[in-house]
Amino acid sequence: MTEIRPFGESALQVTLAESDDPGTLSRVHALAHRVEDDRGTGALWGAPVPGMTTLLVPFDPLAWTGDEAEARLRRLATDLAPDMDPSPATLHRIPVHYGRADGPDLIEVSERLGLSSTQVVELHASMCYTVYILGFMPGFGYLGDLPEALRLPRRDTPRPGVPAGSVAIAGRHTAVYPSATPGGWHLLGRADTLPWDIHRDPPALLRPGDVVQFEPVG
Amino acid sequence: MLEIVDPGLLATVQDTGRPDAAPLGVPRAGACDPLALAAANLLLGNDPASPAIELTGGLPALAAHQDLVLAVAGADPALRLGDTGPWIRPGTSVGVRAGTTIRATAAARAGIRTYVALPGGVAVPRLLGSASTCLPGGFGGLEGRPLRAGDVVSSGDDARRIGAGHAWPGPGPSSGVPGDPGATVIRVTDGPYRDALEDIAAALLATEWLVSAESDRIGLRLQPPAGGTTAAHGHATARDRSYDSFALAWGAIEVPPDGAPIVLLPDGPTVGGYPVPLVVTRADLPTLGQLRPGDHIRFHLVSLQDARADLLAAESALTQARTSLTVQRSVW
Repeated sequence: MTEIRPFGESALQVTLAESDDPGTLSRVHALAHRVEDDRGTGALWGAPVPGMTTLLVPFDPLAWTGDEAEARLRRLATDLAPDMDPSPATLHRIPVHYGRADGPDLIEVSERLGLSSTQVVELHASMCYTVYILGFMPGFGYLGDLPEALRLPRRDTPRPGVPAGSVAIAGRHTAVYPSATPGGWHLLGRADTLPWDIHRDPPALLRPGDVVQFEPVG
Repeated sequence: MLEIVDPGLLATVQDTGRPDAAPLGVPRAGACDPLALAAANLLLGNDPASPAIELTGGLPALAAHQDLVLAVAGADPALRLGDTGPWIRPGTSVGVRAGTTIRATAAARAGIRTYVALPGGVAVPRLLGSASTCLPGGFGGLEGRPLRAGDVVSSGDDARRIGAGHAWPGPGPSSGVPGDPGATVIRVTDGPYRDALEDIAAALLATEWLVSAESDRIGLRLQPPAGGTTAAHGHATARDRSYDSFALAWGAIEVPPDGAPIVLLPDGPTVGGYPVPLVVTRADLPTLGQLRPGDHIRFHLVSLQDARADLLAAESALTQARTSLTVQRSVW
């Protein structure tokens, strides 16, 4: 069910699913590609921005009314199939120093989950995670899904400074913090690879659809 | 050629930002008052989107290392050419002799951001399509950081002979700076969750909000005035309403569980999960970008159609001013 809602007078939000559905993110990215292709032909869209179940599509309200933009977007959203992304996914193997000073929350997380630290590390590192979307900060990829056994809500109180490269979990997601920032996720370890480097080409290491596996080191 | 003697509270290089980088998680950055940025640039014959220095309060001071021309627009911190020289009013271009220091001598009575433009724009590398400083990402502008005392910036075009002494024919010259005392009215229109959040939207519209000292380029943090109620007061279900992370935009009004609204500015995060019932209209973003701690805000709801009409009117006024200024400058 595709719903289109206004996001102010200069953007539309498309909802690709109301509930958790494995094909949703594929459809989100597929629609984003269609909008980008339409942009390539001169259509006055802004860059579409994926969410977990939605896509934000800016447009030029000086060129189109809201109704015109919505009608055009609705046509683009017709017959969306998952797996329409033409580019191949990349597998990233990311070495992680788990625990101790690199993972200050590992012990507490293990206790709350009723597991040993070793079990938490093994479980976290055993999965292949999909990059869902980038957001929150440059290069920050929301990865998922975590196995049920590793799920905890965010920390009640965010840390004022999470070190760059920290590998963290919250809810159904895991992620690598690209740079030092306040953060409310639980820190299990630290990666040497940084997901964001403005001087690298491209600066973002992860793309939606890529796959990430963490490897314990040290 | 222009030295930062004192950056004031915050000074950064900003153009109109990098909205196309949002899918990478990169905040758009750019001038919080894009109308003042445009005015300062157009006074010099620059592209209106050229990078300029965004000064944010305090008492900044700049020193010319050579004869140059610059333009100023936005809030008025009583800038003076040298210790005894003439005042530089926002909405004008001036010639500055080598060795002269331009100093802000008083807090602006209204507004908080002042733009200083140089011929051809401030010369800094472009990253991801923009010269703007991305403070959250630590890149862009001058070395990805706030300007500090001792920094020297160059203009993109030293050689051009620019006439000085032009005056911005409006809207402005302080463009978005609210003129009246009392609450500033900010027009808002439908956000994506307006229907589901009628009660929160109603509370947002019914309250006169105070801009808190925690506000910055990421967003305005709003508080109810002393003794007042938050947007979530009496609506316990606001705490239950979190959404799968969805993309945000400049002007979105987020209502976190504590009910204290955050109105996003250009450095705001690209995705979030708090409800967004209403969005500031694009026509009122310049006014939004001039609000400062202690200011009062009232939100006024307009239809999407009216928001679009307001934007068309604002763009038309800007085009007229630009044309008038082009004629003014060509007479020289």
